[in-house]
Amino acid sequence: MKKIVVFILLWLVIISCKNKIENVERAFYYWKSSGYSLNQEQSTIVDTIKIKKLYVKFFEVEHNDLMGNIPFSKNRMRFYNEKIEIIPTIYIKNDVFLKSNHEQLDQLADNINFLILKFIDEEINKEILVKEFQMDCDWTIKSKDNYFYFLKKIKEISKKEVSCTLRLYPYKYREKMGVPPVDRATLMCYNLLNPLESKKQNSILDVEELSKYLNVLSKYPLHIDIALPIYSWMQIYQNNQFRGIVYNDLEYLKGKMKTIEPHWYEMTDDVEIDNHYLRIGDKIKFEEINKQTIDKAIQVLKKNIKFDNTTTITLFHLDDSQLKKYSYEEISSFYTSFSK
Amino acid sequence: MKKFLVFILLLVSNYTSLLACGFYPYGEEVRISILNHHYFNCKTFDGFHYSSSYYTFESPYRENDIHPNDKLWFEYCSGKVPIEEIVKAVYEVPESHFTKTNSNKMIQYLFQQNDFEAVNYLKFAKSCEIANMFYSDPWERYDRIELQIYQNKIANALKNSLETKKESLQLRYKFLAIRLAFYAGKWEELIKIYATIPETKKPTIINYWSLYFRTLVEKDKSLQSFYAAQVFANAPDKRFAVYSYFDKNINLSLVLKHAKTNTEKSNIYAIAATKKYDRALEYIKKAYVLNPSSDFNDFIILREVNKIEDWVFTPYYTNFHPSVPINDNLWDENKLFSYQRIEQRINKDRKYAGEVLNFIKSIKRSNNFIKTCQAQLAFISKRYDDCNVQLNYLEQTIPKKDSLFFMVQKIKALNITANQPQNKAQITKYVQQVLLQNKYDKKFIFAIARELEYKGNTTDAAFLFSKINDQENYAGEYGYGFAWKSRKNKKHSYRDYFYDYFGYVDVLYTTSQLEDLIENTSNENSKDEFSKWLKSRLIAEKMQLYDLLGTKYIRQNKLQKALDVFSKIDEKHWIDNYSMWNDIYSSYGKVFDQNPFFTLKYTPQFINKKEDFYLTKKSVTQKLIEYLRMANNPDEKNRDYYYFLVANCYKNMTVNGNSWMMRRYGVSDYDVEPFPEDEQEFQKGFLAKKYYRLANKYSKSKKFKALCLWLAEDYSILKKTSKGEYYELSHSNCTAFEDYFKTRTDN
Repeated sequence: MKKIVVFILLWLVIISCKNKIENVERAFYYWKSSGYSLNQEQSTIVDTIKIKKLYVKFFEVEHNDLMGNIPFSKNRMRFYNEKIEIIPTIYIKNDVFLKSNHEQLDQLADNINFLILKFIDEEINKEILVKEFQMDCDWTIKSKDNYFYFLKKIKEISKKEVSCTLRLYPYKYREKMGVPPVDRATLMCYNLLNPLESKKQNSILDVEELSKYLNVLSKYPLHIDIALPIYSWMQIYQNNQFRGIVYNDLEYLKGKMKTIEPHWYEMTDDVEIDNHYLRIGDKIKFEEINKQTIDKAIQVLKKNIKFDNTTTITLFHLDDSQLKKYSYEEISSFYTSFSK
Repeated sequence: MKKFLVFILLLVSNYTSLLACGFYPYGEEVRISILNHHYFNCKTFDGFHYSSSYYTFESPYRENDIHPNDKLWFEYCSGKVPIEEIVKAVYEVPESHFTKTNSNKMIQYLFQQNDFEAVNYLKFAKSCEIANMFYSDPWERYDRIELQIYQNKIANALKNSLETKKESLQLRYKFLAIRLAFYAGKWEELIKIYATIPETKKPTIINYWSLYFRTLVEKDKSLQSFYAAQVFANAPDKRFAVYSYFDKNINLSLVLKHAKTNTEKSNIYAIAATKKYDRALEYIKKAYVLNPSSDFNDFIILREVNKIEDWVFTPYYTNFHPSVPINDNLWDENKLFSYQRIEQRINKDRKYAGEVLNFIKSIKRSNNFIKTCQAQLAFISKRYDDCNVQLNYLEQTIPKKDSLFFMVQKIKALNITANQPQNKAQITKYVQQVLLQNKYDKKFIFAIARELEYKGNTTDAAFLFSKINDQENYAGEYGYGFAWKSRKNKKHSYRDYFYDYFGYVDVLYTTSQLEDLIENTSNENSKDEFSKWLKSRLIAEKMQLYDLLGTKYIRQNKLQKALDVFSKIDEKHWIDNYSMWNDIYSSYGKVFDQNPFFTLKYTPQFINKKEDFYLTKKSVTQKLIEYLRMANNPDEKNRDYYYFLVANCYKNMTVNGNSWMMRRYGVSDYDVEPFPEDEQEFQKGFLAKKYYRLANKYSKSKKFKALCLWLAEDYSILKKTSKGEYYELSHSNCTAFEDYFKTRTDN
């Protein structure tokens, strides 16, 4: 009997160890397209939190009927901090893969590689480590073959580590959606729901919804990193009609409205914000992400995913206005919680 | 990982997909504005006037305006070359044609003056024109080769600027170098070149063009915003391009610290006011105090008045939400509509109009444009007497052919109409004249109509409503031009608005209001031009109005009154509008073609012996009265039969019947409240049930009685009294009604 108890205890220890990360690599996404370098607040966050990696959106790619596949929303940021690794991240619209043949995808891979290297050459301190490129695309079953072909090609041309983003749907339905041919994938744990359809849920991150997607027994056949949201936003409804999104000054707005039901508020003052003139009585859906939500999400992730010893945790994104609501300790805890 | 922007795209894509569902009025279509910026002296600000549309580039100059650069060249040529020749030389004559023999007067003048520096400058500038754009190489593969070309041009421009002795040409060469550096992506070089331009107390357009490119590359947001404000104020042709570089989210004090003069500060406050979506009065005040003589002041004041017009007039007159920047075109069947809530905002905004008015009255800047704004604000804030004083002054001051004069007349017409006692409002002679002058201005006509309606004159209001979307008034527009909602509405839907007088009168007007309207339509004494115009449509549509009045009486179940009204309608009206009712040819869509007394919709024929007559609202009403009289007659032996026919007719006059047009003009035209007074009857058919029960009462046939109870939907009674019949009718076959009806025999 004693042996059985010891065995069970030992087994529990092994199981519990499995889902914690020995070495968390701290990372942020940087997704803005304007600016010349990190501002003072952003630099302070990076230094204080001891961020090791920045996934920086270099540019996006779309298909243009006249010009073919072209880059847009370029981000020529200058980076000087030698302590962080930069991962050039490229968002590619899905229709690129629906409208291109293999020859065009060869060209695309070559162009992307060229432009990334050019930006690195012209904008990034030579001492900064750049060893990985990340591709970001919401691929579908129809575009899967072309996208995977492209991923192999970019790896072949760049001779870098290539990672890609992975949404929860292809994570769960891996047989149907395929496993991308990359070195590692970052599981995006947010934007789970259509914001206009989910009136009663938080469309950025609903932990219950998240756990439904993670409920998969077998380990994903790739190294998995994690991306978590730290941003919030407000959807504006005037006369109950959706009018737009407010992303900034949310704390200020909170003081100008009253709760009417979970997630829903009503303006109690006239306020102009982000090109919207909000009037008394307008309805606001506040989709707020806070420490409690993120902590719960981390527990769900730890419970369901078998992590590798060294795993990157990335927060979306390095926006000082959104990060104001968290203390440095809180931000730091989002990383350390994975090791506990 | 679509991230924020992509997520916004998702939202927008949802947004546009809903748009595809159909038309719903929004934006400029519903915005009411009386002060038209075209009549104000603010042409150089075109493109930035208050509007719910996105800003688009509009030329800041009128056709014959002299552009600032042309003026500079005109002065350079000592005023001896006509402007047209300057425009040709600077913008049209190619570089290779700059020779002594060219007939262009500017080129001739420059050669006569031996001004080879200017000739060489113009030739050089033309050689640079091809570089006035980003090279078309999105993947940036070839820029290293092309960059050399740019680099050479920049070096030449700087060399020439040093070699020329003329200050104006030095500046022009530096501007060319700055522009080339911008398109070459050499932004640090651009900043260095800009720094070599000497400060001047009299900057020209070339200075501001140079500053424009300097603005685009400035990293410090507050400094960039400062530059943008100066370019916006001084270079009209760069306004559209530089507008977005003023960051309104930056604390204004950080931008202001870069300003050295009051004029520069004023420019900052003025663009900040332009960018404000809510109340901008505090910025307007500061801009004015710092530079009272700036034309910018007129523009921002007009913009604020247009904004207030939208906040007050759009909801007050149309009951649509103000058109503010984002489209208001999504709908939700379940959302609530509350005019009371809208009214609270309107009252608040009227008070704000008063605050703006007080400010304008306090300033020394006094021109007719400002005074017109003052009059409009007085009207909006309901200071009618104050408004009148201003308008009288303006009418005496502004030439009668000036377009501003027409606008003043419109404000006066509104002011006169709104400032009348309740239930005594009329269209005065003055207002008549203004309406005639503006008979294609739907929104103005509508505003007058609403003022009359709110004052209790629903008759004249309806006449004016009839002019709004009159075919004659389309003036080349597509579809119907203008829509509005009812204040009594309680919820939104995509059919919650009116687009013609008839629908509005149908839903909102009482029978007595409609009778007044018809009576006035008949008034043949009005032969003057205004009355002819005002009444032309309703006189032509008088039969439709009788039709509507009779229908309203049917809704009230006042059958004799309905018949009296229907009797006034000529046969042509029935044939033109209801011929399908009598069409025995049955095909898809023709579901109204049956006699309401003898046929039930979606039910096989079961009454064989039927009376045949031509179906009109009049004949149906006539028969209904006749059958009712017979049914109610105690001496009549077949009372059950006649009650049954009457019940059939009432049943067919419900939403599910074959003659719903006795009560409605469409079953899905509008979705507004109040619904017509017979809405319950229309939906549930209480009268039909009443008469089926009476048919049951006077019948002796068990099966016929059962049929009556079945049609009266008295299922529990039927089940209790005739269980067998209940189950038979429950599992009815195609001939069940016929079989049951046949059991009744004439007495």
